[in-house]
Amino acid sequence: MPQSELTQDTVYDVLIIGGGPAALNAALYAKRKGLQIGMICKDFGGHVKDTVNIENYLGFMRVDGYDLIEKFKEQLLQFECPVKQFSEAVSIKDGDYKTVVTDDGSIFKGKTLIIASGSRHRMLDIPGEKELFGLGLSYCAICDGPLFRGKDVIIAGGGNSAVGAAIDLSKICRNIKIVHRSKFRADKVLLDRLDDCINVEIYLEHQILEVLGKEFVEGIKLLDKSRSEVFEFPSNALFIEIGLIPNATFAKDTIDINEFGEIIIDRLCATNVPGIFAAGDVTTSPFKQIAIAISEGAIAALSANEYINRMGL
Amino acid sequence: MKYDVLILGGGPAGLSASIYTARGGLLTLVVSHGKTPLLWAGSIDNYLGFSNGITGKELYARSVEQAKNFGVEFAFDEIISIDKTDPEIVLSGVSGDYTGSVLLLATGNPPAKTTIKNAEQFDGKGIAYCVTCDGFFYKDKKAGVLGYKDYAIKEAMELKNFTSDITVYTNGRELVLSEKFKSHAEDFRFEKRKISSFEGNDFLERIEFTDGDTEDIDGMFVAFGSASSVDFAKKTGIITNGDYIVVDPDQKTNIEGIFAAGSCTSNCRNVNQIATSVGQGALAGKKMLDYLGKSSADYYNMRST
Repeated sequence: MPQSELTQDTVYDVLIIGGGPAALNAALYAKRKGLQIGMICKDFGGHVKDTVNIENYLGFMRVDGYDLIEKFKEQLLQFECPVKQFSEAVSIKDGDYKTVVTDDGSIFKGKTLIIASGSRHRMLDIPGEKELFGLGLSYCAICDGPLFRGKDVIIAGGGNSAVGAAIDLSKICRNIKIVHRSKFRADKVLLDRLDDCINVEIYLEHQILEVLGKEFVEGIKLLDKSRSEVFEFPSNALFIEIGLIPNATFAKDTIDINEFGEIIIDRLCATNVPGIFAAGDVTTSPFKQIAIAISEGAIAALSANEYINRMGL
Repeated sequence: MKYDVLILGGGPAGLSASIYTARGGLLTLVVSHGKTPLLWAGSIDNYLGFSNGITGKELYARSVEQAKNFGVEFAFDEIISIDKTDPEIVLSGVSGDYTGSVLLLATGNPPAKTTIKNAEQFDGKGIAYCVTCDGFFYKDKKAGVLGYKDYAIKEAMELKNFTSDITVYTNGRELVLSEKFKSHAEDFRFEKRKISSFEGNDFLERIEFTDGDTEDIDGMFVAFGSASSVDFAKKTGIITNGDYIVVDPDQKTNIEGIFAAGSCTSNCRNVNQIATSVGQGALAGKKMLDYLGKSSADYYNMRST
């Protein structure tokens, strides 16, 4: 997409916060309605660009996440999309127009606002986690797994992302231990595939207590909940794949957010503040899926367009 | 053969849902007449991922291949009725019956209403769309069914419970019946002339043909062409809003085990896009997995790997 710099003295028709599928489809739909848009994002692609195989987005049998995002961006090539990149929103305000303050103190203005800021990885909150981040501890097995070719690694988690990561890493790493504090919650198709991975060991009902290591991850300390025994596993890496937290803190003083920190939206992606819409992983919609994010991005843009028309803005 | 999931409709919503249920390990059957409007879409520029646009035909072919890759089965058939006999749901078609545990209605836009003059004026006052719902009002009266396919015969057969004076009006069309329904057709009188208008005062009283003739009638059930999701919905007791199926934010209808997605639902009324149908299909697919206990509704661990 031809990117120009977002300016502080323009009042954009639609300001979009985020750069993942929801934000990009909101941009596409808003541009197709002839609206002037501006985007504020850290980077393009969100979680999708870190995903190796995507096979549940209709029309693509199997596609690499990075490639899919490139295709999404390509589709916006014909449109002028001013972007403030490598930037995060720190607060938003309602008023005659909506304003977004970014982390460098810039203030941007929009007649409407679409929040599609996605989510970030959930942490275990245990000793050693912060200290060893980037030193063998990662929240993206798919991104960093290849660095541990032929090594022994541990994956924390029991959902689709953890099991999917174990399957992918089984082709790269020597031994994979998947450790989860309760039962598996992944889809059956993935669990079946996991069964076929001979170098994956499964430890359910095991809770990780501490990440061990000084300059680099050396292992974990864990509790076998069924036998109340504490022991250690040596490991070169720990991948924490225990889910996502919505990036909505910057909006919480202005719009309604639920107990999970998600932005509350209605069927037309409207928040409780007229003219502010939200779409994708950051919202209350229960499944964090590309198909759903894209649907919401389209709806948010069409709702923003209707708001502008109705209010005569 | 019993399926876990039956999906009625082979457009973007149905196909997207099928990918989710099949990937989740559910035995999934898509039943469609194979004529989704997607096929007629020339160039689609607003479905994200195809920067040079894609024809509807190509997107359909890619999506079907994707679904088949996960083991989704397809049946090309015309469905005549839906029967919910707990814990099963049975779709009866021209070529066969299909049994499943849950059903997704994804049959797309509601069909156009009959355009015969004054049809709207007598809607609910002699013109009706569901024998199951309204047949009782025409007990021992002179009733008609407007249609020319199996669905019309099916409606006429059901009408026999209420009255014996039944005429099937084809409105100028030739009958198109399967073997299964040809024998039943003998029970009815047929009128093939083209109808120009419905006439009456407060209620429907007679039909006027294009040749100027008139014929008295008390009630006319419209069953022209194929039955739509909305027709089925009404018979099954699913709440509708006009011609749209009412669903909750989980794509559930008011009937246990029956979901709906895409442009046949009230959710899509204002925003009717391939992207939104695909999103609703994905959501319905996930919710059907939850419903059958194949995955827990884990709030935070749903990512697209």
